[in-house]
Amino acid sequence: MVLASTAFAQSRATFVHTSPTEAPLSQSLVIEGSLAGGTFSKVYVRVRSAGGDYEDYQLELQYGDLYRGSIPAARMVPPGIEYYIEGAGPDRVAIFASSSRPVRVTVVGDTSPEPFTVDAPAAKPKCKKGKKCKDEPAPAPDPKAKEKPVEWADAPEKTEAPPPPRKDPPPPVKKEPAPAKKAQSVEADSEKPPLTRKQAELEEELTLYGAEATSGVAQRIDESARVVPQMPTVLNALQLKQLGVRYVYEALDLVPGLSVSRDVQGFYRVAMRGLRSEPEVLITLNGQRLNNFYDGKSLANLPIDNLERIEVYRGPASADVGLGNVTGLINLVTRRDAGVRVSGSAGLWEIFDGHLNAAGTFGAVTLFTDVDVASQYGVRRPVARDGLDGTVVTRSKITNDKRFLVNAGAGASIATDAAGTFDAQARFMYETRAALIGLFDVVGPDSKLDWTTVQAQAGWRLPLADGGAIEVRAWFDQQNTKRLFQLAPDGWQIRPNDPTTLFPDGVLEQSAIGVRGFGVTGKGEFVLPLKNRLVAGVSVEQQSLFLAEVLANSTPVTNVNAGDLKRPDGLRLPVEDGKGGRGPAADRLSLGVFLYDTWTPVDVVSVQAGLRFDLTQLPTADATGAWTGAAMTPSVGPRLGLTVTPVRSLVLRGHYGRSFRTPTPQEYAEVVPNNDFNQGRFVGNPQLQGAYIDAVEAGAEYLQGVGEGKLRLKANAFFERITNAVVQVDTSGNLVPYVNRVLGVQAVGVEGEARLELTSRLAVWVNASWVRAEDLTAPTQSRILTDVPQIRFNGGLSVPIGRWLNVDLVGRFASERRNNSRSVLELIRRYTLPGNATVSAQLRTEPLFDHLELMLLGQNVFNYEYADDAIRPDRVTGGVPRETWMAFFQAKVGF
Amino acid sequence: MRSLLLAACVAFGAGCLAYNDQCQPLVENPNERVAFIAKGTEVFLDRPNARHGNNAIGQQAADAFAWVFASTDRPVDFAVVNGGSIRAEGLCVTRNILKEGPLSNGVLHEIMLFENPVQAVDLSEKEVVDLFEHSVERLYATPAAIASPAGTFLQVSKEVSMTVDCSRPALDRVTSLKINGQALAKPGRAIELKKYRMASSSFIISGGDGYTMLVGKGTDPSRNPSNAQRAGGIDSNIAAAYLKQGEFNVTVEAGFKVEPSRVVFVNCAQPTRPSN
Repeated sequence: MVLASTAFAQSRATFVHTSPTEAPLSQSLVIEGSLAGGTFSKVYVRVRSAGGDYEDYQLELQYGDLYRGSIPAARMVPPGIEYYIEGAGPDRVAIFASSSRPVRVTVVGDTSPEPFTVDAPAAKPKCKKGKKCKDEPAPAPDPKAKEKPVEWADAPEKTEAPPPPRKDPPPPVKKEPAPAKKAQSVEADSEKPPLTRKQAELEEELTLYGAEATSGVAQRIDESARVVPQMPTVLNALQLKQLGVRYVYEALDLVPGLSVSRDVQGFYRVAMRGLRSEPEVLITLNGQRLNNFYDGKSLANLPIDNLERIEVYRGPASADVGLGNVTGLINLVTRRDAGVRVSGSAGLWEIFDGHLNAAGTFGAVTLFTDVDVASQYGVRRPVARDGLDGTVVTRSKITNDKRFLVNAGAGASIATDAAGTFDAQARFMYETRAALIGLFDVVGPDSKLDWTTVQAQAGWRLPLADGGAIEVRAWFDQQNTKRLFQLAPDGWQIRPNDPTTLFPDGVLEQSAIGVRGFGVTGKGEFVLPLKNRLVAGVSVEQQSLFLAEVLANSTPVTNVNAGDLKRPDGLRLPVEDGKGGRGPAADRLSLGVFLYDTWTPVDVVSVQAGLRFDLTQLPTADATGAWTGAAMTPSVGPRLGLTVTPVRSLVLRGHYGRSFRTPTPQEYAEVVPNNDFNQGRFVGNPQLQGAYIDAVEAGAEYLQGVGEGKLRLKANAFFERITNAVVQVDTSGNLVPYVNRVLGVQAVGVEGEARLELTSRLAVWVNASWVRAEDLTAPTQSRILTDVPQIRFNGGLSVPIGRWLNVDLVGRFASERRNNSRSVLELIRRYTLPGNATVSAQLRTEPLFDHLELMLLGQNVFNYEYADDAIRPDRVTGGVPRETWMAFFQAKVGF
Repeated sequence: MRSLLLAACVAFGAGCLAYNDQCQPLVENPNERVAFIAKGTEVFLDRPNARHGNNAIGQQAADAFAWVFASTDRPVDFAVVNGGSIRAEGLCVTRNILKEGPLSNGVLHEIMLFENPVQAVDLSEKEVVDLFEHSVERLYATPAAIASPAGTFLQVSKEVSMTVDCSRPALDRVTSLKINGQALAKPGRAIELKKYRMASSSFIISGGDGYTMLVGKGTDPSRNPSNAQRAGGIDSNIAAAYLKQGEFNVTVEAGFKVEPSRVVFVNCAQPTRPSN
């Protein structure tokens, strides 16, 4: 019955695609679009000249649900062409236009006859992932085929050279201006269509960190994954839709090896393989860093609605990724496929949000934009106890998750055949919200946290004739944060008989931080002899604090009401050196050089070796903690990877990577007013040193065809060690400096994943991870870091219910957490957070009337009460309460 | 459903979970007796009693800090222990009350579990006055309840006698201060004119708990800083060694108890007997 439903649903599949009305003469026409609501083993564009017969050109699955191919230049002759798109499963069905009502494209340009020469490549005239096309004639011999890496196969069938289109009678067309060069390009890059227009931009994203590969709840391995020595996780748009998640961190919590928690201030914290530190996880949006230079936090909890995919790398990724990629890398990629999509949702707790995503190509120019607006009153949960309990003042202690978010981006790219592709994009992000509990250990309902980010980047990419490319990219980033925290509630009086310690509006503290950065990266990718592919580049960036301000309405030590917010005495801000000059931690110049080579000596083996060398401006201090200046600190990050493909359905991988971890300005120079409410907070330590992570992992990936579906299994083991790790360990209960753990921190563990996908609508998946993290500087009996779950299980099921409906169920489990015991205070501030299991359920439609999708989502449907760790568990004894059950309704319209 | 899922996951992964042994004793001889708590008395370890009043363990620790320097070429005039270093939490169980009878080495180390080195430095009379004013500035005046007592309050050695009036403004609450019977005058003289040698934990001498008047003194050669050499120089070990060799380790009748005369509180909120 399920299969019948699936087959029925498949007939409702559509191909979201915008066809041009006209196209230039003798230039290949790129066809791309998203497949929605169906699963096909192949997708074809069927093309005919006026009055002619249709010919097939296969579209290649790029990633997610995005297919791409091209109609050869030879077909682009006046007066025009007609085409429609078919999906091939058990039967072939039209999914865009039809044979009787094809799309018509007028071909314009000079039509003077000239001899035909080789132009663009045939539009991926091969079957998906090397599979021989059952319904196509035998392929012509391809002398390049044996030189190419063996491609993945859905089933262990022999792969042959790509077959040509069924029928290809090229009529005479005008000779291209540089036919020899184009022909050469075709030979060298026969696996890929030429990079033109939007393609170049998409390819650029895909190659940003080496290659795209999928894992975790993903179901598809990209062709290039075979040479990727790590096992990243990529959640594409369809998977994000099936996961029953609304925001990025909800999705990340389902990725093996990751655990997401919230702190008292409401920030989401992601732990990578048992280690949790914001500056050690590089988070990027379309390749541009989101981490704030000051503290490493990222304004990254964005709605998933406008995301094309989320990429997660555990450990140091490839050498071209800059500093900040220590325990992991998370890259968010916005959708840029053609069309317009609008969605809106509403949920309990006054949750409303709207999303717009649009992209279109107009000649050589592609424009794209995305906008998220989200508002929520948010779940309110009681806080069992806080640091002021036991007093005579009656207070209500309730969490406050009120939030308003705007995230808007726009850009354009221009593709030229001769000069490559230029692109520019800009983004504005603004968030204002309350603190979930407060600053530290007291409920502060009137806290207000603002965060504004402006980013821009521009790039140029020139594909080389031999298949390589040259790319230059410049970026700019400015982030302003203003965080006003209420440290004690309205009407609080610190000393009952002392009216000077009365605070009618509560005890307040405000910090304002402004950071600005810009940089340039240039790199080249070159195809070298002996089956080498070399990437080399340089990067330069400058980051600075242009604003650092701490204000309080209480007087340090005496706790007397100071009236208005003012700068407390005795604080040396990060932008100051204490001698009238600028603080050396406030500016950072970084120079980087990177190089990595992928060598595929034989089809079944690929070796990747890389090296990154950075010079980073870091502050220096003497033994008393006084600044002495700054120095350019060298760091080296080697990478070495190996992939072996003994059979087509199995890849074995091994990888070693080392990366440098620079302390943040916050860790160097954070200042905190010394009052009653801040005892136990962390302050900067000018004597901090940088740290290194060494990460080794080995794993296997296996793919098994199951009828028309597939089963994918993955397993990975890892060992990571951070020498000189920068951590927060409370040793005194007062203002505690960040410290280096001289003996380091290490983590060892395994990650496993399985996904059975019968159709795009029928899938079941599970992943699990285990980690043992230890702080080697702690006494032997206190080394295990247990504030992050050691075991995680996630699983899900997507089932079609008839023609129009789908049900998604997702379960999430995290094992018990306890306090660390690296110091006496951590030891005696005991807490136990029991293991938790939450379930999400989702009911969503297939596209109605071809354009409308509806979704009803319930999160934590069994209303499991759970909490995260508070920084002062001895005072906030119930931890940080997490969300109760919630329900949302969403409507989405796409054209 | 959720319970089933939770149980299944816990059962499946139980063997992979490991946690630190938080109950492991901090010393090799945890059951060894170091002293008796005097018959008919109790020692309260909750925060109000450790941080807002004379505390028997704190007083003995302060006496131990003075004792450890007594046989050196620079004996100290007095010693102090911050109330925040007297802990009730323990490793596995919280002990708000210690009953009369033997006090074991293991329990003492759980009460004084920070394991800070003990140091001695020279201070001026003014710095001593400022030190004790800071010690009592956050005490709660009657009739207020003791809500969140600060760990800055200093337990003092037997050489010190002090009177505090909590009805007076902060930093002007010490109405009487004597060390070895000699009264100190406010605001106190410079070190060239009057010098006191004090022992305390390195945490306090480095300026912790807001004792900013001590910052830098522990590394200033002119203040003759020195570290305790006996019992490893660690506060809890020194306290244990002092108690073991002393009169309090003979009989329960001769055990130690709180001495209320060291700090006399006037108009200050009084801690009450906690529940254990």
